[in-house]
Amino acid sequence: MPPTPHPLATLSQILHNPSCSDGLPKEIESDLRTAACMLIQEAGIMLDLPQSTIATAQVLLHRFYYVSSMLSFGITDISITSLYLSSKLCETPIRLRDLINAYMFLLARIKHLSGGVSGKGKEKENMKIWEGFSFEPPGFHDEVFWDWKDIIVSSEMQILKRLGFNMQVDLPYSHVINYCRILDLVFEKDVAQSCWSILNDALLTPLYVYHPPHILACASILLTTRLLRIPLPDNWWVLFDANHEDIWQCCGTIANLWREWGMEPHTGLIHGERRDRRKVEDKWRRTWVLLESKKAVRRWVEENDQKA
Amino acid sequence: MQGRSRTTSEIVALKEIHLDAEEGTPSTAIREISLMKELRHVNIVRLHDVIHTESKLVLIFEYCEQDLKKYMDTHGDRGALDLATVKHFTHQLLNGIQYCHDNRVLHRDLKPQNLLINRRMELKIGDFGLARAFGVPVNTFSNEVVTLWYRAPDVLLGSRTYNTSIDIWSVGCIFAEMITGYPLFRGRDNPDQLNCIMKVIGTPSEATIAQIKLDSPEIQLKTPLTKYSKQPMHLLLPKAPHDAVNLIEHLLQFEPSRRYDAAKALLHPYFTAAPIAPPPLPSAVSSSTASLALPPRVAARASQASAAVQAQQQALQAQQAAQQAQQQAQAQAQARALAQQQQQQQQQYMMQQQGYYGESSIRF
Repeated sequence: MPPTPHPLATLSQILHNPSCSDGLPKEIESDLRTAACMLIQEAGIMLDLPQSTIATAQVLLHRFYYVSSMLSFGITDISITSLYLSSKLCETPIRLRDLINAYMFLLARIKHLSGGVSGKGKEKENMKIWEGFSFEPPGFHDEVFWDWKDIIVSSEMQILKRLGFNMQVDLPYSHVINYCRILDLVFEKDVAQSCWSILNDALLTPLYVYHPPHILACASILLTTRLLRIPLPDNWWVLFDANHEDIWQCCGTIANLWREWGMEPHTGLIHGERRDRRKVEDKWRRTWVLLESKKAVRRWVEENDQKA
Repeated sequence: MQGRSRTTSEIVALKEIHLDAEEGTPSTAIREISLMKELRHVNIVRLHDVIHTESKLVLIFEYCEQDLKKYMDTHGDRGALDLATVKHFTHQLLNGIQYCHDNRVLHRDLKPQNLLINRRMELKIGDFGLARAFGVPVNTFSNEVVTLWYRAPDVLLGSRTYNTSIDIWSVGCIFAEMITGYPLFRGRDNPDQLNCIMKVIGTPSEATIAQIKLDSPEIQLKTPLTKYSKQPMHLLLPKAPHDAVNLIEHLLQFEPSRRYDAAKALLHPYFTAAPIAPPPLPSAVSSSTASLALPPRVAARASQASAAVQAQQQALQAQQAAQQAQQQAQAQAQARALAQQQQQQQQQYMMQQQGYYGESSIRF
């Protein structure tokens, strides 16, 4: 059987990242990818979409930003559109209105959070950050729906055109189940759940356009078994046509994601260094501002150029 | 809609898809384009290109004169085709569907209206608007697929985990329809369709139903199935030879896992016992009315062909003419391939100008 046409980014596409070529630093570029994918994830859960639909949307977004720049296409626009597109592709139709409502809520929340939080230290710890937050969904005939519809319809065509209608996305979830069966891991406590969660987290990074699904599946098993201290036979990944270098690199990227965004690993077993809370908060705040529109990204790049 | 390529002067079929302001690009169009552009097979309609304008998408397909439904109406005896043609078409249909399945594409809407026949009696599978790719996972697919009369019983029961076997069921139905001239199972609605099927192939045993439920747990039978006994298939298809009936029985198995796959069907004695001779080309098509619509190059070829027919009376000349025609045909084919390449390049360039902003490394 020929392999499925699951497209990966070419080396030159990775090296000449369009957004970075437009002057966006690599670090910010990947932060924005992560934030956009988090939006998809949250909206997807709100709309009760299956994980495969959410994952497909996230992969499409990652692919898109290897052929287009974040200075030309707003991140929020592409993120809402990829979710809409993937709901069509995965036969899990959603109403455009519901999708827009979900995003309006998420954007309102971001606006509230980035507006700064009053109170210091202890108070902040007590989760008072939601004080004063409210969300009113817009009325049925509100202009805002038409604006969003126009954005989504035109962005959808851009995604289709720029990705050359290659909409096939192969996900590693079923591979993981099969591999766990072969490695006799299905009855180990927490293994399957942890692999699943790691694969979900990996969607926040561009790993899905770097590696084919079987490599990602192996990486999630490797990371899980390391975290849970489950021994496996030497070189087990050879069974699944994977090589150590690739899967180790994936694990590194995922661990890096956890560290940078201050996420608790699912098993609670990574201790590592104490995160710099301030740094993570700044990162969030900066990302939220840039998430708003391509104009915000352009403005940031201009200011950054002037500084330099 | 028809059009003609400027570079190759070949006729192409155009399909216009209007972009909906409410829904954006229709999902059928996305599926059709994303799957068909990967499929290159003589028995599958070729998607040459896609042109995108402000408010619509235009898909450019290889041109075929008619669909199987029309062909049966015009060439068949009250819809029934002669047995040589049936074998020829079924063989091509299975070849096409085998190629789809090998490339992990489910068609999900096979019916005579979606099978196109061109002048050279080639059958081509078209309309991939309902098709989808399948991978390793046991996906839950939409249950609203396949036109009712060609829908497999497991789908009628509510299966969402069906696979390639649903296309095979449709092939079986079409095969029988070509022999008799009318659809094999003509139900009014979902339950009626299931009854129509069971009246012919019999209600499956309890054990079979249990197996089907085990394979697709989402199937829920509200009421027990009415008991029907199996009818001998050869009584329904009196004209069909023994091995054809046997093959149909293997294609129309109630339990999906027992249906033949395309590869196995192609190895059935029905096809392997004797060479499959393509039936003679219909003579009605090559007359003057058709050649009016032909592009100059094809018309030239047609006149060559008729010249060759005249020359047959003189044996010596005939040989020379045939050789010449062959050489010319070869040269033409080469020229066509070259022209097509150029055309593709040109169109690619056009696409870039339209929207790609000159990015050339789109390899996704």
